[in-house]
Amino acid sequence: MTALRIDSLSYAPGGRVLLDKISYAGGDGGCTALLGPNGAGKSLLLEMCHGLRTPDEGDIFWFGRRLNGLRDDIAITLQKPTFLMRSVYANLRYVLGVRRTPRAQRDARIRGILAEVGLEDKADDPVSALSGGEQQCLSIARALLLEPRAVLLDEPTAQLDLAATERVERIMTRLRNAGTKVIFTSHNPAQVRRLCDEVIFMDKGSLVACAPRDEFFTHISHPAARAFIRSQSLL
Amino acid sequence: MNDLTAAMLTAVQLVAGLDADLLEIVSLSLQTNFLALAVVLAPAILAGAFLGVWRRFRTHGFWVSLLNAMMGLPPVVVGLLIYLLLSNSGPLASLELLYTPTAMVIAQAVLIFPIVASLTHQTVSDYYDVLNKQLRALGCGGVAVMTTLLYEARFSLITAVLAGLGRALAEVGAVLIVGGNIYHVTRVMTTAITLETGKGNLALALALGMILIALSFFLSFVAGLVRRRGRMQAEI
Repeated sequence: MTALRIDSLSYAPGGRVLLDKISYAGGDGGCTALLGPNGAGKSLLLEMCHGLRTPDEGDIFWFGRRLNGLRDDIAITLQKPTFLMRSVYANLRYVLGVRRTPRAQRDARIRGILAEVGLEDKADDPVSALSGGEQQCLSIARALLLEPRAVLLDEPTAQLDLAATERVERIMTRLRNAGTKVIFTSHNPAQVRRLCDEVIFMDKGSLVACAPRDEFFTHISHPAARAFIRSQSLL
Repeated sequence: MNDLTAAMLTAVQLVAGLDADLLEIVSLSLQTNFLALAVVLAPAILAGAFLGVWRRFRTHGFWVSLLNAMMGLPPVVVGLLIYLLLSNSGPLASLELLYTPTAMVIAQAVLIFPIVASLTHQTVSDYYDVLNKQLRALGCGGVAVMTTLLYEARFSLITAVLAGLGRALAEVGAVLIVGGNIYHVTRVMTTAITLETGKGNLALALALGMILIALSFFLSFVAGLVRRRGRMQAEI
């Protein structure tokens, strides 16, 4: 079954083209990476796929249904997640309150998610006391509370140290293995190679390449993609 | 210098001795101030929060500019307008509110509203810029975003409330016009200070001034305390 289909998506606020006629179709489950340099439009496309932004032209379909605003079964974690000035537990309880989850179920759900992302001993800590990696895990936990069929992660490991990156990547892998469709943005080819099944390469608002991971890395056809991978490999 | 010292001593005696006139004036002042604040608090906070969250309607900029401009409303002009409304030849004459504490509450409410609304708008806007995208991503609609931001900003909003109360406490021009500074009826701290200073009764004026300043300090202290304690507890 096609999980995500994008038909000729364009976005040009004030006449400045930020996304240019993007089309894509991807299957259910698995992990897809949106790879590309800064300013390629990866985050923008991800937010459009979630429904946070509305395109000027084109349509997005999730699991066969046209996206029209936000959907309960698609969750997103933002590049710079923000939290309420409350404890870890209270931040998660807030999400369940918004979704009107029955009160009797909330505690078990929150404890379960906290255990899943390894924050069970931080439940009562204020969010401000968490490290960057732990905050990213909390952001993912918040998304998972929605029990989504697809999770969109915008630069989930940006500015994290190695240990925190590994922790977040383990969660992503577990999600993928559990059958949740995972789409994330990255400009790190090594990470993309480690985690994903399919690579979409974007450059200057256009989708310039889309292929299964091994095919993408062994037969990099587009010059922009080739130049990008080479430049990142040198870092 | 001796006059001032003597006036200060008498003022302290009036305060320490809980002078009946003094207490009556202070009591009426506090009643009108807090009542005016109570009347405008909910609508002003809601108006400010609404403008902070819903930004895309056509006249949004106009309303924000209007609120900001109204923060500097000249109290005597407000007093005059309310006087014209309530006077015998005004459209609201039948209510017979002129020279009553109710008229003073109305005048103070008009002056407080833009202050509380505008400061709430500013505070909620700051929180909106940080949290809106995240809250929308979690599935919040406009009303949920607004209530969440108000809750998150609750300790910062104390400043807005305090500014409104401060304006009411310090207000003299409008309440003098619509209240008339009538002994035992509409005499409040600020109008009494004006009158007693004019009469040369510096002791009572100083005593009221001391109470006014003490009240301002006390409110600032309490607000600061609530803000600090609240922030600490909110994160636990």
